Amino acid sequence: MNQTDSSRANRYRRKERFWLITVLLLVVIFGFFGGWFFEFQSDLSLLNNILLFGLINLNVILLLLLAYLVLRNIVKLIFERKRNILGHKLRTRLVIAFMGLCLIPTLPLFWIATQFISFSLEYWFSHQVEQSLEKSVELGKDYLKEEKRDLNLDSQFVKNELLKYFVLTGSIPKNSEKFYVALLQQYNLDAILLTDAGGELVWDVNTGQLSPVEIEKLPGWSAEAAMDPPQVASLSLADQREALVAIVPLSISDGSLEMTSARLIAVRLLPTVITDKLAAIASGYEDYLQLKLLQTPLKTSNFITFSIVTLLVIFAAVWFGFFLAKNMTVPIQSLVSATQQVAEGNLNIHLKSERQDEIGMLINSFNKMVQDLNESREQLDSAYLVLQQHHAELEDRKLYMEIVLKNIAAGVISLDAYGNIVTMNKSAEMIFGLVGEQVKGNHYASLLQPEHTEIVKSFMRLYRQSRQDYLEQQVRVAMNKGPRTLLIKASVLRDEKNSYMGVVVVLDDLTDLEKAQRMAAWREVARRIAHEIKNPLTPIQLSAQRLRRKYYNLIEDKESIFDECTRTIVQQVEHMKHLVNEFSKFARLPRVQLTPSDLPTIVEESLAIYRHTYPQASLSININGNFPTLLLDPVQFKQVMVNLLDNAIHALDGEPGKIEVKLLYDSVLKIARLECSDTGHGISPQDRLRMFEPYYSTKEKGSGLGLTIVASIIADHSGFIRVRDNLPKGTVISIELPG
Amino acid sequence: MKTRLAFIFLCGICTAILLPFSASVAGKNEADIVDIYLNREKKNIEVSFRIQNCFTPKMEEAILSGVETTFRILLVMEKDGFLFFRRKLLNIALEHTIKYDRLNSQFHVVLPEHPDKLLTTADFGEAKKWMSSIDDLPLIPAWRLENDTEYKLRLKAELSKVHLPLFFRYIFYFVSLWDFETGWRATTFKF
Repeated sequence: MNQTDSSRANRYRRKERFWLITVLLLVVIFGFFGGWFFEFQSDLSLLNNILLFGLINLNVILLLLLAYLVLRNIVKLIFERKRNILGHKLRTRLVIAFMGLCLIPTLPLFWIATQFISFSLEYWFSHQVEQSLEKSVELGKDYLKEEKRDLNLDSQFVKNELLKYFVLTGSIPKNSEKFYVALLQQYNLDAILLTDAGGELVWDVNTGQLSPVEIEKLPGWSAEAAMDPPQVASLSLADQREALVAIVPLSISDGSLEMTSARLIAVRLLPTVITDKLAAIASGYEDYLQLKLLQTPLKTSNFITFSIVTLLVIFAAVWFGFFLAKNMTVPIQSLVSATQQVAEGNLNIHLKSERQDEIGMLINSFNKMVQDLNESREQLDSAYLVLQQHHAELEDRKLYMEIVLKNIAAGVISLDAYGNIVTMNKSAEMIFGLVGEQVKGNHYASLLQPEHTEIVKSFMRLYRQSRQDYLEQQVRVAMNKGPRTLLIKASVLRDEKNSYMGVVVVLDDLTDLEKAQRMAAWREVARRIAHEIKNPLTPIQLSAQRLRRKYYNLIEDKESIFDECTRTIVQQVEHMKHLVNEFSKFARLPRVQLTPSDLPTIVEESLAIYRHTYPQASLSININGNFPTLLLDPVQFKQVMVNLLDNAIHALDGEPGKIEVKLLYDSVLKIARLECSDTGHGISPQDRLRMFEPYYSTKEKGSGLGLTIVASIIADHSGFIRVRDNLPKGTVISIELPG
Repeated sequence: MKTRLAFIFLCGICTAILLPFSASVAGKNEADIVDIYLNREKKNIEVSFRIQNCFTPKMEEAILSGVETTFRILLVMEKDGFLFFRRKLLNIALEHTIKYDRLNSQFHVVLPEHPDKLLTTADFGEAKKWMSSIDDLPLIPAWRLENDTEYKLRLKAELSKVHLPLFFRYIFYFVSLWDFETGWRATTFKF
């Protein structure tokens, strides 16, 4: 998650939290306002009704919104669980824990509250309560009935009093007479009215408790009332006063009054204390009945109210669970994510936290740790860089040393303290005919031949005697390529603490140098011999020939000593001359004149000479492929061929045999190879070691210079000459020339 | 996807919460206005009609329990015409109120037709008749009506106010146990 996504998610969460808290607060505030309105219990104005309606609706909407917000979080959590998003387990556990913690007290409370209210309602609306209330009302009714009966009776008495007065006096008493006051007091009445049949007031008397308006509104004025039987009605007056009104028909047949019927209206005010109590009893019973009517909706309402409160509590708990879970999991999630990134190698991470609690401390510690790691890594990187540079330098040096070792002419072998081979350069490989990589790690003794072991032993003896760390000795030893003259230098290796580390052996191959020196010496010797011997040979030969010419005819015995001696002198002088010429030729070998030459032609011409001279030998040439023109000195190379063929013919010992010259060209290596093979008697290994040395010959009259001259010429052509056995019989002289 | 699911979830909850209210609203009785008679009496046009099926057992029980109950009767007279061209001549509302006096076992009915008189009876049937009848109610002076012109009288009755004890009327705002409301009944006449 990058920084932008994270900050956006944080903003979103903050916004959601804000809305949730706002909604919760609004629910509480509007609920409070609603309750405040309920306290009036009286009729509210239209505006207040609308306001109340609005409040209730708003509360419902807000509750729904709250439910939506909480349930949305639950749905989100379910999806997070499905997608296995980091932190969902902890979040689920916290939410479940909070729900559990909330449900454990809430549900029993909810159940107890609903049951309690239900039982209470049942108890309130029990039969006993209803009966008591009903009896109370009945009592009130009985009281009123009794009062009505009393009033009716009293009004009858008043009627009789009036009739009696009329009979005695023949008239109705005047308003001013005390008669009426006595009637009012005697029968505890508050007003007595007499109306005629038309409803016109004839006279009235009252205690002053009733206002004229109230008197006018009294029932019984109308003509219809006169038709009804005598009755008592109750009447509600101002100031919550109650009065009983008795209407008694009155018939007087006296003509002076000119009325056949009249009505006596008697009014008695009920005591306020009694009427208030009666009203309270009736109101209470009615309230009871109405409540009873609303018993089921009331229960439902209570249930809904408790459910809403319970839901609110649960929602609040769930949301609080989410809040806490987010509070914990979000930083943990970011920590885990950051840890993963650190594990992947990204140390440029810094977690933002404004918290001051343990999680804030954890994040700060993490940041510090990552910073320390980053610094350490930078230090390590720089140290590694330096080390790498050093290593590269060492590698370069090592490589350089290896190249130097590989390319120096001297063979170098290093042994560790246990005598195992550690390094062996190319020259050493060539000297010993071994592959360095294959013998590395092997003990030197396992690779040495007995002759070589002797040399090592001599070195060890020398070391024991001299105790010097550096020893040098020149030895002549047979190696795989033949006899070699080696200057062996052995140095003991010691470290700073002077501990023995091994030995390094340097082998200088002096064979070629020695050969060249020997060759030069021989050439000098040959030149001097030729110079010193050749001069007296001619006078000796001439003298011998002169003696022979002068004295041969004088001697009778033709096969006498004289003849033999002079002939021997001449022959030996001739032989010596030949030797001297050979010496001279060897000593004065001219510089090679390289010209493009066709070697097969040279070979063919040489063979042609010998074919005629030695018919018993089968001379053949075998050319493989296209043989290119080479830079050669044709004259000297003819000499080479002559010498080689001479030796081959001689090797046949006059017997029939086969001499074959093979010409090959390796176009890859650019090497031209000439192989002269014969089926003669072959060369022993001992002879093979010295066959290219001057004056070494197996022939009776050989000068020992033939192959020496050949080797010299080949060397002058930068070529190599080797000798090997020709299987099954004979010898092969192999010459390699650069192509 | 998540938002859609949450929305469906919310809709489900809303439906579950509002279902009881809708059920109670659907349980209204089938009150109607019948026997509409128009009559010219002296200088006025008078109307008489009756509301039938306006008392349910529950409502009767409530009245007997002392709940003051008021019927609101709406009368609208228009000169016939197309929609907005109708001229409204009359738009009045009458309220018939009934209250049971338990101590005296009497029903007090207040009718605006008889403002100076408190009708009292011990007979519930008679009280109901008073509540559900309009007899010879003067509507409009005859001189305000034109000859050979069609007029429409529309009538409607509904329970206006039920005074529940305490503050239950606020709690049961959505729950009306004895509500009734007729449709608009119309009669056309020519003067």
